[in-house]
Amino acid sequence: MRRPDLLAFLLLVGCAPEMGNPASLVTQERIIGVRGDPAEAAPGDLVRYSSLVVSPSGTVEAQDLSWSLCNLRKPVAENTPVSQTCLTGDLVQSAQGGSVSIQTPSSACSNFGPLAPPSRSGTLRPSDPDATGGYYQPLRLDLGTEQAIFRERLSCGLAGASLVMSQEFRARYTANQNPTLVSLSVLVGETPVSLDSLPANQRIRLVAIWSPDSAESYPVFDPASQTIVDHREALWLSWFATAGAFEDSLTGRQENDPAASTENTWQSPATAEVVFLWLVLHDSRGGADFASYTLTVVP
Amino acid sequence: MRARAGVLALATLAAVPEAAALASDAYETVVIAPPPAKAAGEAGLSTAELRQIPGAQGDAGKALENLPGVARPVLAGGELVVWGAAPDETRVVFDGMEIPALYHFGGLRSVVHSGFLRTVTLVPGGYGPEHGRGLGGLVQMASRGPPVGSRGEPAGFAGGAPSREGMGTLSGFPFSSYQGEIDADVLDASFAAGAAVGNGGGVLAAGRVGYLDRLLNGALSSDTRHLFPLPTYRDFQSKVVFPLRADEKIEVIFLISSDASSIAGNTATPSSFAEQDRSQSFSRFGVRYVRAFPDGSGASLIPFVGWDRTRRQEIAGLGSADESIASTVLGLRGEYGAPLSPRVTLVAGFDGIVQLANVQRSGSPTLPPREGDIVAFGQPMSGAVSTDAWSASVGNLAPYAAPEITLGRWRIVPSLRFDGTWISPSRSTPNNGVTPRAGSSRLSWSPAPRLAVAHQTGSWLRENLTFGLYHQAPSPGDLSAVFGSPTLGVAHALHVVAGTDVDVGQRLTVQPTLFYRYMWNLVMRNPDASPALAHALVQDGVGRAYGAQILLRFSPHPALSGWVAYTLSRSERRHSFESSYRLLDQDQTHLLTFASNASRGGFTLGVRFRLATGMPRTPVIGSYLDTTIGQYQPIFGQQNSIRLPVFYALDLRFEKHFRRRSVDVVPYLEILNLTNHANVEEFAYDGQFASRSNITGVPILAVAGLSVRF
Repeated sequence: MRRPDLLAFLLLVGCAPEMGNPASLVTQERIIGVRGDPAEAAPGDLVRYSSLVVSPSGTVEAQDLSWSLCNLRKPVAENTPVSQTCLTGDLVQSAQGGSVSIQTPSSACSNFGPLAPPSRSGTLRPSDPDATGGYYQPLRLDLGTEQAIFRERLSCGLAGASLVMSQEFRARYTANQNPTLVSLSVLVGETPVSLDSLPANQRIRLVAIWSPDSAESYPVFDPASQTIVDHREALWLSWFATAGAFEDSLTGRQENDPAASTENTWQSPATAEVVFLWLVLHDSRGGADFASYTLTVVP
Repeated sequence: MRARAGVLALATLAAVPEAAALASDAYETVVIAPPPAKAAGEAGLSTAELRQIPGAQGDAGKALENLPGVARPVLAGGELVVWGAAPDETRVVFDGMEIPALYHFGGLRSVVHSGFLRTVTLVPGGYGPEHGRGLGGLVQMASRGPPVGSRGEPAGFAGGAPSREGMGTLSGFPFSSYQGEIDADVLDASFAAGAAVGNGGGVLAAGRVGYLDRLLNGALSSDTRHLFPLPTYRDFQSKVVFPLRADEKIEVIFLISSDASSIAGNTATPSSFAEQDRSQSFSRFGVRYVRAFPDGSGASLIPFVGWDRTRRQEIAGLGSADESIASTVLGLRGEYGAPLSPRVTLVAGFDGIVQLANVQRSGSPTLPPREGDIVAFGQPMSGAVSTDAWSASVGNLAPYAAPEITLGRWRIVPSLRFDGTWISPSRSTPNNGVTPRAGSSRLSWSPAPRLAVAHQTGSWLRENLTFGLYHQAPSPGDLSAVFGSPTLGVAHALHVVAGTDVDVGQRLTVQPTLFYRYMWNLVMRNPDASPALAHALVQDGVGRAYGAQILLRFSPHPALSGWVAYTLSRSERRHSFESSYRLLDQDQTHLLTFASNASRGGFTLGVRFRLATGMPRTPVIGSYLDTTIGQYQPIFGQQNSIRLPVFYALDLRFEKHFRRRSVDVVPYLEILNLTNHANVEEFAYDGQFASRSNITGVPILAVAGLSVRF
């Protein structure tokens, strides 16, 4: 018996697909951000919603923006954040305009929360929370053919917890606050540059900074171990621009990363032009903030 | 019809294959007999034939994918879809012991070395009463015996032509003879070896270690690595044969297999973070007693024990899943067959297995996806999470009896199997912190009558008809009060298969087959927006699969053989009797395979051509931005209403045998996808789900390897 020689070779070229336009490139009118104030609401609360609608010619005052509460539960079988029927069905318009106020439905916690919907045929399954323990009331936004969903975080309590655990959770839990974007730094290499004179066809570093208190701590109930575990919010930023190319459409910080900033690289366009830039900051409990910038690219 | 007496003419032994193999060692007689009452459509190719198929890299189990009725699996899928049955509906049995998987991760290799196997048989449907617990097909792998110097199993380890010339002897060792092979190619290295000990005893062992992950990790781009996780795998099998008397033996059989794979994508951004770690291992240890009696009767008994472990951790954006299942498997299978009269033989036995599982699961209820889930490749997960920990015992004990009646040219086997299924989940409702844990336990009996009829119209024409009822218990992983339903029971299927075998001369066989399978009480996700508590899965699903296949086997010259297989089929599922049918996720309308080998002067050329309809997919007809996380989600059209493009590929295999004393050195080269056709394996979408592109499979690819057989 002897060990064989290995004669092997492999010819392999990339099989990865080529994708279309990145989500960060704004080529038409789009809804890219929504913020609710407060960021977390109890059933019956009035919430002020602000939208960020953009187009290749800049931020749009979307007076025709239609807001509709969707009170349809998502089947467990659907692998989407809201029921597909919320997108394809006819909903009653709740408000219209770029910024609106809408009252959170009183049934929100039984429709989308830990309270099982009333039923005559036995106990129904309550909605599942997300990884932060959150439940959400969906709203559909319509602007022409453009659609978006915003999910308002609900203050509903816990599912599957004992009374003692529920009381402890209530004592420790603080409703979510929206994060706050503080500033944007623009650098070429290590040199800061002005937004009014960015070099064309350059790799430009963009550093967005948020306030230190944007990443809040919050407790999450673990029904398997019947314990409460403390977490810290993760934050991430969606980058949008009317020209150029970002290295990543999303950048951010995991919950165990205490840094209060995130960095992206933007390849500026080859020709001189005015570019609109938008940043939308998200926290993992559904809070948001956004900011707009005008960049001038020079030869 | 020429048949080996020990296998075919003695119907008793045909039904107790272990005893038949034992008897066939002792004598061989050529008889004219009615056809065996096998299932129509059954494909029992020799290990040697299967190992020669291009693209299989000498792996008989992997070569099963080329048989009629077997859907082409997706790249890196490794799922066996037989006659439109979902992968988890087909059972895999190794030496009488049910095992959880036929393939290692990615479908690159089967879990048992081909050099360890005597036969690999695929029965797409309509199989006999000795097996059950599955609604789909059956794959049976039977291990070979140890090499015997003077008599016994003659096939070489590579499954080639009978050759005792290559059988070595070792002086100074208690081995009367030995055989073995060592193989290596770009995927893995393996060995198989066996030695005879004493008179009729012996040992066999085989194993494999995969190293594709280490080989390619540095060679592939990060994008490609992210799309296709590279698996790590290894397996080992052993068998020790203790002869008791001339026709009596005990075999101690051991099998272990393990797999792992890991991928990690963008790690910087919480909402697009992607990571997947999977592992699976299982083992089986069985002691088989086999006896062939002088009166033509035979008996076998195999108690076995096994341990199965699976773990799947997945993070996709803000969605996650973590599931681990640890099971102990206890099984017992026994069979006795005896001739009652010259026309009637009776085979009776029992087939039992118990799976004691502990399951922990947390994360998205829709991750991993099930058959019937609508999902687009790369879609962000829903973000909803749940958690549960439960145990579940699922047992099945099935006594059966099958009298085989020979009436002239007819052979009729009316059989009855009673599937007693015991299901006992530990928790009937989700853990809510207050209510004490309460489980449930229930036993159900499901009769499984089956009938196999074979008729020999002439020396060149045989007809087969089989039908039967089949039952399948739920997986312990589906008995969760949170992710599944503790009340799930047994699903059922009816198989009807009809076929003929036509011998056109000595060198051409044509086997047309019609099949129909109807399934009900299938486990599916609950489509209700407000499902009842502990009913995330329901058992209202209905399925049907039907079609026709034809297998044309030719051997115009001793050095030239092959087959053409074509299957036309349709497999559909629906959520309930009230809803409408949609295509099975893995449905493939047309399957065409041509495979042929030609040998001359120690040189073998193999050719394979495959053509398969693309699998169904659900179109994305729009999208919307989920502004809460800043990611787009798809809006889907009608489920499974479009298909991936047609797949076709031409593969070649060159093999050269160099013989030096008692050692065969066999280098081989396989060229896959010779025409470099860009076969689409999956649709992918851009970040806004606005445009669609294709993920293509392997381009022209050369795989070389070396086998040393002694």
